[in-house]
Amino acid sequence: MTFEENEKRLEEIVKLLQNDVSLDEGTKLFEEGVKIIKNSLSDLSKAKGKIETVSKELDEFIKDTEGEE
Amino acid sequence: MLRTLSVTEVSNYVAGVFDAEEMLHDIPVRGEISGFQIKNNIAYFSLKDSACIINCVAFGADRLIDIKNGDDVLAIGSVRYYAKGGRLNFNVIKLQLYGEGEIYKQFLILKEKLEKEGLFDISHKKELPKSIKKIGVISSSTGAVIHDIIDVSTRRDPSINILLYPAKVQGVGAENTIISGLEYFEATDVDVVIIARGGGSYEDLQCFNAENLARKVYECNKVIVSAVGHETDFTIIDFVVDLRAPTPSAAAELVTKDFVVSKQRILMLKSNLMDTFSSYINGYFVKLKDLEEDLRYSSLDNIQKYKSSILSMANTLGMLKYNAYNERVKKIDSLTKLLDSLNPLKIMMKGYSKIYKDGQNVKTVKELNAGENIEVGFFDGVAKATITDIEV
Repeated sequence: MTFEENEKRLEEIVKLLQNDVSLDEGTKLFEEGVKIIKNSLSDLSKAKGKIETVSKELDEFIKDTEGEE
Repeated sequence: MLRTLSVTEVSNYVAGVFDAEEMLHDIPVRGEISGFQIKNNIAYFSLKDSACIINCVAFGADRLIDIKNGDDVLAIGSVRYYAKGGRLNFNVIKLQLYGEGEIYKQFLILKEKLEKEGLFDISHKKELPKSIKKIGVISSSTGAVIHDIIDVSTRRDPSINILLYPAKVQGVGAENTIISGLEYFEATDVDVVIIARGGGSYEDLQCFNAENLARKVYECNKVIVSAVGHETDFTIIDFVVDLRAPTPSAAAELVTKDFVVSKQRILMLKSNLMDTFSSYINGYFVKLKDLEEDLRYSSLDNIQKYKSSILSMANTLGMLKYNAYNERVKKIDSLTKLLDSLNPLKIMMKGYSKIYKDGQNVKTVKELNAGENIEVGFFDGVAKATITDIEV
């Protein structure tokens, strides 16, 4: 799920809990919410992204053909 | 013998000759600026080429702040004789760097053409994806631009992936390397492509006005953000791309989420969930308490009454089969025993008592502090007490 989807689901869960749901259902919803929060927070603190250059050779070629910057 | 003429007469005559000479009116002249100076909002300078020089004046000099000595310019104006000063002047009404006007004209023609064809249509523009994990960047691999983009993107979203396609961003054939970059990214899983370049002269940014690049940008299946030059520079591709950013840093901001804000949002939702759930559970506790109360008061008495009334009814009427009511009696008996065993009063009669603080049932010693007043509930009454010490 994307961040926005997670956010939306969490808001939904809170709304459902404010209404009349059975104890069983409510507990399940709460568990789901906790899981989403855990996942979201771990997504946010995940390892660093990669920074790559398409091709070194290409880069060298372009640098050779111009003197820009 | 000719009549002697006054200076004024001669001067006015000469001025009249130039005024009448249409060939010298509103003509474009190319030359190099020299001796440029401004007095009282009038610019005085000369235009020269390798062989000759002509004096020039231009009124409204505040329009000419960019002009400097040595500039190759195109001046439009008329040759006049300034009788009071005895000088021949080229009165300039329009002055521009040579070549600039032509390039700009071509820019406007192409812009209009592409606009008519619908390349700038807002309906064709793609929206930025909700979740962007990988950014493709077409730019020079050196210099501040790619550095700024990486810097801003990774600061906002440390998990972002950036793939740089090194491209020429000025000079001959530069647009073709940018097109190659777009073609390359079309076959990858990047979520968005940024075409970026730092500020430069008008000529430096020319490759972003290329028609073939504009068409490629239009056809490209990726969402494209442009960040070319400064905020005030507009190139053709700025009109064609899905989103134009004023600067490369701004482009990086547009395509990344600020994780600090996202984290705060999640933490807020977390406390929301916790609060809601705890009041939700509390609701059930209240219900349970009510049930407990009910149980306490629907005690043995009521059941006994019910039992004897059924018995007397059975006896009186004599119509119910013995087994039938016997069974009921048994059932009631077992219910009675069950209820009896659950009756909190009965438990309390055995010597257990309940502690209340501020009207709330105390379940753990941790809720109490020395010196606090409490109430001890027995089955037959309440005793008030003060905590002297806590041991855990």
